[in-house]
Parts: sequence; C-alpha cells; structure tokens
Amino acid sequence: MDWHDALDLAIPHPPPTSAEPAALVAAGKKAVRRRRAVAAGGTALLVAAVIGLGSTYAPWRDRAAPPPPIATQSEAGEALGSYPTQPPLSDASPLRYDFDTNEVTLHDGWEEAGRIERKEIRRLLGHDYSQLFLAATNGEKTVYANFMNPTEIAYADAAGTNGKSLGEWAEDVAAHHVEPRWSVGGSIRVGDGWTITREIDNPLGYDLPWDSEAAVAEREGMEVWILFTGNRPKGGGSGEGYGVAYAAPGQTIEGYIAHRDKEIDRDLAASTGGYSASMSEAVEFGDGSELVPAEDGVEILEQVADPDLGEKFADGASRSAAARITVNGKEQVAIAREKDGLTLVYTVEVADGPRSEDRDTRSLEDVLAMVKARETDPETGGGLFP
Amino acid sequence: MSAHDEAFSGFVAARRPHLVRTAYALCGDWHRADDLVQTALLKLYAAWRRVESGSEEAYVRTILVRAHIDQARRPWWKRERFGDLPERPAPAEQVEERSELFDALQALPEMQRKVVVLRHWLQLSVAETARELRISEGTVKSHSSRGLAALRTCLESGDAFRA
Repeated sequence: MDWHDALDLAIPHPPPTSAEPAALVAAGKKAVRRRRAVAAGGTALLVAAVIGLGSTYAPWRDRAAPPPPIATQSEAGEALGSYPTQPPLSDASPLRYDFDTNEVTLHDGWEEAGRIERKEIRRLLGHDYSQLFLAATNGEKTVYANFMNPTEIAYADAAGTNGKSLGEWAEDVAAHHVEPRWSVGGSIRVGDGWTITREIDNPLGYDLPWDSEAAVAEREGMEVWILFTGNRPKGGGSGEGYGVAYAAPGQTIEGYIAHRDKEIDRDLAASTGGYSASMSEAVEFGDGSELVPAEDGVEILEQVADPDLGEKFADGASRSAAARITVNGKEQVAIAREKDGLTLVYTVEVADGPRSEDRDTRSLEDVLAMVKARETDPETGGGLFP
Repeated sequence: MSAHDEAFSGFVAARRPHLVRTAYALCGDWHRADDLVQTALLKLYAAWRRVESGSEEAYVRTILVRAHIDQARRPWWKRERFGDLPERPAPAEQVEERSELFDALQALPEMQRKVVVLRHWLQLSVAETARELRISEGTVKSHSSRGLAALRTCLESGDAFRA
C-alpha cells in the first residue's frame, strides 16, 4: 500500500483564503518590536502580538458559503482576578506552593511525602513542563499536586490513581490530555481514559443560535472543569470555544462557570461587535450615489451617500453609499462603492449576541461604525474594499 | 516593502495552505491548526535572516510539530477566545468531509500520529523524523509500525475513503 497517497487523499485541504501576508508581516514586526522592548527592559506584553489576526488568517473566511461573521477583538477590559487555583490551607487543600519563593506550605498534620523537581521533570517530561510535582499525606490520605504555573495546578487524591507513585502519576498526567470536543447542541466528549462525571446543559443561559455546555471530567483521582460556548447561526459561520481548568480543592464548577461568565461578559462589553459581510447583488447604484433594489424581495429603508468608512474605502471611489435594507423581510445593511468602473456591494449582518436581551437593534450608523473600526484597524486592515 | 518582508510574504503566500494542512493532520482541529501555523509563521518572521535559504519550510514544520507537542503536553491547554469565536467557524460540512482514514489517523496516540504524518505523508526519513520529534530512530520505527497497523485495520474494516 502506498501510505503517502492514501494519506494525501485522506487529509483535507484547507479552504482557499485570500488573506494577505501583509497582515502577518505587520504582526511579525510588532512581535519583533515587542521582543526588543522586553529585551531592553521594557514591560510590554508579548502575548498580545497575535491578537486581532484571527479574521485575517482564518482559512474558512473565504468559503463559498456565506462568510462567517467578523468579530472585532475586545479592547483591554476591566481586569478580573485570576480564578483561585490555590485555596486556603485545609484538610481538603493541604498544600500550597509559592512560585516566587519556591516555598511549600503544608496544612497542620500534613507532611511532604514526595517531590519531583524541575531537573527530574525535565528528564521525565521534557523542558519546562512544570515547576514541581508534590505529594503530601496526613497518614490517612495522600494528595498529589502538579504545580505548573500559578494558574495551572492539578490535584489528585492518590487513592484514586490506581496505586500510582508520584512519578508514575506525573507521567500519566503528561500523557493523557482531556482534549474536550463539542458541537452546539451536542454533548461534550473527552479523550481516552477520561470520564464525564457530570454535564451541565447551557449553564450560561444563552439563547439560540448560541449555546453553552459544561462538564466535570475525571481521570485517576483528578478532576477538570470544562466550559464550552458556541453558536451556529442559520446563515453559516458556526464556531466553538472553550476553557478548561483543573478542579481546585474546595471549589466547585459552579464557581468556575460564574468566573468565566464574568470574563466573557467583560470581553463582550469591551468589544465593538461582530458582523458578517458577504458580496451581494441586492442593490445597485441608480442616479448618482442613490442605491436602488436590484433583486426581488429587497426593500430600502434608509440610506446615506458617501459613508465614512476610512481613507482606504474613499480613496479613488467615484461614488459610494450605504443603506439599511430588508431582503425577504430580513434586515441587513448594504454598502456599495464604485471605483475604476467596478462596483462592489456587500451586505452586512450583525452577529447575534449570546443572550436575547442583549440583542439590541443596531442603527445604520452603528453598523457603519463597526465596519469602519474593522476596515481602519491598522493591524488587520479589514479588506472588504481593496 | 523591504526585501525581507517581500521574501517572507512570498513564502507565506505559497506555503501557508500546505502548512495549515500539515497542522490539521497533526491536531485534527482547524482552529488549532490555524493558531499553530500563525504562531510558527510569526516565529519564522522573527528568525528570517537566520534561516538558511531553502530551509524555511523545514524550520516552520519543526516549530509546528514542537509547538503542537508543547501545547499538547499541557493537560489543560486552553482556548479561551470567546471574543473571536464567530470568525473561526468550523462548518459542519468539514466534519462530514473527513474520511475514515483521517479519523483513524486522529484516533492514533499522539506520537504515533506525528510519526505517521512526518514519515509517511511528508516522507521524511527515519532520521529526520526522529530529529524533528526529538525521539530515537528506534522509537520512530516502533511508532510507525504500530500506527500503520492501526490504520491498516481501519482500511480493512471499512471503506476508508468514503467521504
């Protein structure tokens, strides 16, 4: 059997994309600048370098189906505290580790029963896998903990590990990832060896086409909490995202969900909104910059000439206009520009928020402001109107 | 645009689809594949002047494979990116288009899957595969043997190419 040919046939090709490498160059320059700033003692955060590139690089954006909504990235919002991964010492949570001082603190009556430090971790699991694996016991119960970093700490009741030593547990943790999967309307699935012990349907109270799903998954005495959110609009462009956290002793998944709910709401509040844009023949220019219906079922509710969508949109345009229209009763915004004898028309549809009470009707001005924000973004540069 | 940027842009335009496909073969998730390629290309941009001409793709592939390893080693690697959910769709039809062989490939243990992808799809030598994955040549051979055996079972048990 020719495995190369068989695999080549089986491995799907990504949908075509017209994403411009220029945006990647811009992001690369930014990353290099930030790296230099950090190297020079600056405090710039490297992690932000790739934020905002999603729509430019998403290879699904240019599928033949209606393009997915384009969300505007959130701005820096109000900082929420990190989810507490190290609760106060108790018999349920008998050990803490200070990542700054490398100091281990144990609850009264507990003593250290094993430790694997970075050198050994590196040998077992690879470079920089985590800071410390630790076992603590009170004579009756033994707890294992994996301190990866201040926000990633795994705990397990040693009694639930099928007799594994701390070292064996460490290797097991590294080898078995929870790898959750979910689609809107379905159930959460997890990787081999993991078991869903509890599933919570739509814990965030989202309304269609949005949905949420949470689950507690367990493997060998260790629990993780999973929270998915996603949407599946009728016009296409579905998507899911998720967060996973190790269950912290004494904490509940409800607490984790409430924390994530606040984070998500904060991000949404700081966002300028999401929309989908697809090429359209619903309207065309009549006299001057006036738009007129070009298809049956199209009605123009209001329109403006020469909308302000930034210099790139206006540069060289012989005429342009935007209109709030209905297409077979469904409201959309049409944007048209004529340049060099070529007319481009897009219809824009604002993405629904996750909760129906947040789905305010957007005015023509609101939608144009969202489009302008994207089209004039210096990092991603929009791209609807070249 | 500088010569550096021009050359980099040319490489990205020409090779990104293949790199995204490679990443998808490794991780089975278009979102993660896109993230991995994006990360790898940004690293390539920063290192462009240091990368020997003609070695760009190998450089990116190495980053891709190791970035995926690094990410997968973290038991709770997370993808909390609610804010850009709508722009990263996974249309249902993509799932339906996946062949049984591809699903079987994704069902392989991680290192077996990587070995099969690098060795048998990308046709790297045993030594090259071992170097990229930072494992011994003997381990490459054993992963390769087990991985192909599992895929062969899949092919024998059904129509692996049914879309």
